[in-house]
Amino acid sequence: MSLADRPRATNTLGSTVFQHILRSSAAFVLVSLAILWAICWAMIWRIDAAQVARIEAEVEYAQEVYYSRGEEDLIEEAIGDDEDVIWSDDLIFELLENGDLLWVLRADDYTPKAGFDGLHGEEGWEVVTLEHPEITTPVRVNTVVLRGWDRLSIGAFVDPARENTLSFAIFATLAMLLIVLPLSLITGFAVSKRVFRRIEDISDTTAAVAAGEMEVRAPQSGRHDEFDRLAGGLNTMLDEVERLTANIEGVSVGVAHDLRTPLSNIGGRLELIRRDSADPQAVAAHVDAAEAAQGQLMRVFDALLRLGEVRAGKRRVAFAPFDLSASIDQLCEAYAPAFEDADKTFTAQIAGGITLDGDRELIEQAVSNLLENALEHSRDAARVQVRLTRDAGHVTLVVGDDGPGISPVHRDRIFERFFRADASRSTPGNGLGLSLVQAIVQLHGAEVRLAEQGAGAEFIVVFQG
Amino acid sequence: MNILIIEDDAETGAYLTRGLQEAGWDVQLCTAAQEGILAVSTRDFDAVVLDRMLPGMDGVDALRLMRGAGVTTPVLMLTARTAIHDRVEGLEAGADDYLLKPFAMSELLARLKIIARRPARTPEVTEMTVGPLHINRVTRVATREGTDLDLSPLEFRLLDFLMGHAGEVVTRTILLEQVWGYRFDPKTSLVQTHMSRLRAKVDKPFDEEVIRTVRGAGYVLG
Repeated sequence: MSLADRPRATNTLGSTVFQHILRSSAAFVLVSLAILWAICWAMIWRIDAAQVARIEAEVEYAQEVYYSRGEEDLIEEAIGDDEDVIWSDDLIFELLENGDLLWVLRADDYTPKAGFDGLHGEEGWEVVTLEHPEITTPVRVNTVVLRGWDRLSIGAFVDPARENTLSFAIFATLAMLLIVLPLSLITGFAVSKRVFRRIEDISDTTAAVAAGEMEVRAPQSGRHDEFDRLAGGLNTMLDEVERLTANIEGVSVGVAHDLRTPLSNIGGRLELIRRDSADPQAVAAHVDAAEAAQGQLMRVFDALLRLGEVRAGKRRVAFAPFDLSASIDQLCEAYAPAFEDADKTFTAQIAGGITLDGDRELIEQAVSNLLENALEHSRDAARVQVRLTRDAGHVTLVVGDDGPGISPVHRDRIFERFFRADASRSTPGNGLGLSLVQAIVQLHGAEVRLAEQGAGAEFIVVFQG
Repeated sequence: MNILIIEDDAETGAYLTRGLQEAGWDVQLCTAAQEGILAVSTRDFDAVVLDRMLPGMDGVDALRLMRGAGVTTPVLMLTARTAIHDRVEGLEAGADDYLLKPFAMSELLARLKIIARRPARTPEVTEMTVGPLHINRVTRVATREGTDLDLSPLEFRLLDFLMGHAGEVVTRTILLEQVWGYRFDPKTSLVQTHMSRLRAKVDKPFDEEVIRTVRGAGYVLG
């Protein structure tokens, strides 16, 4: 994918995170307001209902008194006989203070017979303002018509709690809209900006890698959060990709080199055969050399194919228990003369009776590769030793020599395909032997490593069981 | 010897035919599996060379058909190098041996000789004599003209195998497989190393060589 094909980076406001926060903030505010208003309305309704009930009861009582005992009794009952029948403006202050009821009884010509003249009610339920020089508090009033067109109005000051509740609801609404909503949007913006930046970092990394800058890695904040995990995972993947790419490059160079030499040898010998065709002895020598080169080619191919096969795990079906001790014993017997011919001392200590569940042929190949490695790469007159031991739960195979050992700079790479410590590639071998050993050993759930100390190279294979 | 070759590739077919004819054998070449199965059921062959990949029918299936029809003729399968696990399938289907392509003609000839005479092979005997050589498999003593050769167990096995195939060319690969049981090709010339030790004991102290090197092919005893 080229850079131009990448989805264009969106800005913070368009990011998914911000959109989500925007939507959820709006939903939160709306739901909160709905609940707030529902509660306030319920409270107001209760306040109103209580007041209405109080006035209603009073009106009923007054009517009862009026019809059963007459107008005078009503006036006396309501006002008492020691006060003025018509209430003064001053008295209203007291009533307001105590939350007492107001009332007025008027004749059919609207002149007040008793009560407060400033209370005006036409008929039924109303909310009115008193005719009073100072008091503006609204009054809920119920007016009923009595016999002979007399009119009785009874009222009460509207409970201040009602007003308070209403203004609280309005204040809360404004606060929500003007403070909470913008605040959550600002927070949301900040959060999405952070998220967006971290994602951008990661996305920039992938873009850079795609553009060929293999060494670029996603930055990590060190907080071990989900982004660090994502970046960490990505970086691990990129490391592996980089390693594999480097390995493939190495493999290509290795293959090219290891195939080129024998191929040109074969070509050269064919030319010599043509030239020396009159001399059967020379031709035979050329054919021998060409065959040797061809054998070398075949070994590279075989090793590669086998490596591929082992790595793909195809050989696991052939697993069966076999006598590892006998197998290694026989290999040592086979290789001992080769070490002797090379003037190297070879000793083997094989613990008997060890069986292993695996592919005998592959294990023999692996051990053979280790022996050949020791044969080829140990110093002159080296002492090479093989040990097979068993202790609690482990079977350990050691193949080691006493020099010259493997340089520390090469230690990490010796199991790589086509890696050769000898950069000139002039020593025998194709750099596949140890890769194959590792692949085979890993197929058997075991591990192979190079011993830490010691003058020579000592390979240790540890099998479970 | 009378050999049937079932191989679809013209060049390989011609190479095989020529190689086997030069060895003095009768060869019949079939290019299709059906044709080959028909030939093997109507004529008596000493051995069959069967390619693993044939047009129309897989070599393994063809082999199963043959074995199913009661054909007991020894079969050598030719398989590509890319499919090492194929050989297990081939052997299970009833092949007597297999050979990976590409191969040397000497290798093919040696293997065909071994499988062609396998049914007639004498049962295990305790003693064997070839020319001046004599081995006793129970005491594991090998002598030449009555002189004890003092062989290591491995050298004894090597000599035993060579004597069992006296007069035949035995290749390095066959020795690795039959004497050591190794199906891989070690870089170190293990066979040569052991062979030279064996020959140092069997031939060096005596006037006449009984083991000869066949250039580019292997060894022959007697």
